[in-house]
Amino acid sequence: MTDAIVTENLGKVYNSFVALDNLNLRVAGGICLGFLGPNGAGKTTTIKILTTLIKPTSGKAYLNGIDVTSDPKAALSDVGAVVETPEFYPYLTPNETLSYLGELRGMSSNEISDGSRKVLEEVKLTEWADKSIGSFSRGMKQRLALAQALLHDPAILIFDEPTNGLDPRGMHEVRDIIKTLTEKGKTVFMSTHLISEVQEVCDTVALIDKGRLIVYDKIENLARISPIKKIQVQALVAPTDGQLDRIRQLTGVRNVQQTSSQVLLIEFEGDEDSMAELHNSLLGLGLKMISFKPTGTDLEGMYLEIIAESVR
Amino acid sequence: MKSSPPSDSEQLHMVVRYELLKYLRGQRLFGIVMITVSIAWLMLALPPLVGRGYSSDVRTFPSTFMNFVSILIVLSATFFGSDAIVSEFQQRTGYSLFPNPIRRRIILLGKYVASALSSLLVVSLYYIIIIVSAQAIYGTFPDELFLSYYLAVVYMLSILAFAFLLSSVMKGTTGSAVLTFFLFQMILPIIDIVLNSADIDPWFSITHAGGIISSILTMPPAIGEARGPMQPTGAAVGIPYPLYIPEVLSSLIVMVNYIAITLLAAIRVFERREL
Repeated sequence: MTDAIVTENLGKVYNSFVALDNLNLRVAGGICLGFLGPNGAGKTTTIKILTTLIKPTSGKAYLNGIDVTSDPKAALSDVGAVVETPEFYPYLTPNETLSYLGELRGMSSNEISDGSRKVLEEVKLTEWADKSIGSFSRGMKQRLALAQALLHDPAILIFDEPTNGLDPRGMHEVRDIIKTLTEKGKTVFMSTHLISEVQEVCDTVALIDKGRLIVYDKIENLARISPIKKIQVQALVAPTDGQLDRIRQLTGVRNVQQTSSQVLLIEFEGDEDSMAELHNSLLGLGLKMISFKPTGTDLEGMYLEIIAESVR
Repeated sequence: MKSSPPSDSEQLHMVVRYELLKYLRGQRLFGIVMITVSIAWLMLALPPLVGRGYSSDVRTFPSTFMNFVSILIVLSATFFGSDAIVSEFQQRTGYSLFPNPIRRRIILLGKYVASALSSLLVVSLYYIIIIVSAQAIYGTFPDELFLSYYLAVVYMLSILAFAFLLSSVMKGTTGSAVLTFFLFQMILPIIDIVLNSADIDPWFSITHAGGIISSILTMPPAIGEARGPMQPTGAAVGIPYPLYIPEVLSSLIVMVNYIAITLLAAIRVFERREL
């Protein structure tokens, strides 16, 4: 089976700045890839090449096995994309915009009308469907951008910071949509700055820096590499300094941060049994716990460490 | 839902439709039609109002309207062509349009056809007003008006193509609109005059070639008959330097070449331009 997205020695140079340096990626169909990297790492450049907004200086990029540079029309035929925060023609309504883009993609008028109703409902823009886009906020435009990407039910979805400009509720809704897409077997290629978003939504991570691929693996494998987990503990009463010292000395505890007077963030290394032991030990220290909540792998810590190594 | 993208010609038709909708919704078309009607009305109403009346010769009647034809064409190019491409970049609408299965050349050609149709409507309206007025006042109109109209349409297509090239190159919509208007309304005509006064035939200039639209009607018959391939005729009309009068065939060839060359260059630039 052809990989959904492939880049081969992809390079992009702006004047003397190397934005992409022989980037090699193979994204299998049906996975959700979180494309991570610091500012200027080359994330948006990669996405712009994949969506034919820019041309590579060297190398090739393929969507469904079709070269995006030599045959962009065929390459983009089964792709939906949201790149940056796009603008739409202000004199059109969302329904008209979806109709225009749907027609360009070869959808019939029935498919467009059914699809538009469905995707506008999904992104919560139904009541704005016939209002002029000229009056829309940034968040509403971002929702519309997502709607147009989903309209033709493409096999590949490319998202560049898809939750940009959205309020927390909107971010949550968009993440739910992306999770549903992955469940449906779609290939999702998503760049973001938010590591927690990747952890919540994606199963695979590609980390790039200075235009080069640093890490490409499943999140569960990364968890094995770095078994540090974060646990958020909320107490009824703020722990004393003595209690904090004793928590730091407990088995498996690597670090303790007091994020607020009653909330601790504990970096912990160990399996689930050890975590249960930690829970008991905290109670044994007299800590009146309201909650004990593992918040997942310390991907952020690992990310910062890898980026720091890359800089060195 | 797996559908194949439509053919290039079908997509071109779609782009034309939505661009025309833009001109209608954005009131550009309405605006330029209002300008056209207002100017034509002023030209028709002013002579009787100031007590001068119309010319006794039906042949010279349309010549008073001809000066505005080239301005109208430049205005149309400014209204419909100058921001057609650059706005996709400056206003970021390209982010929603370009990542679709459509070739950029089809987007450009679709926009060009839409702006040509809108400009054609405006120019045709102006000529219809002239013909109807001449018919109403004199009971007839000069046949040269038809030739002038056809030449005006070709000139309009060449100016639009040039405007699309500017729009593909420029960074901002305002700069593109200002440059389009002043280039064809001031800069190139000034160059034509300078070349004329230096006894250089500006046959290659698009604005010089466009002069045929009015010169076909305004030149006196004697000069019209003497109008050969680029003969200096300044003295004949009392101008103290040689005046090269454009000739129909060579003007057409120049205009058609401008359409082909600038449109191809616009497509080339647009296809290479990065967002």
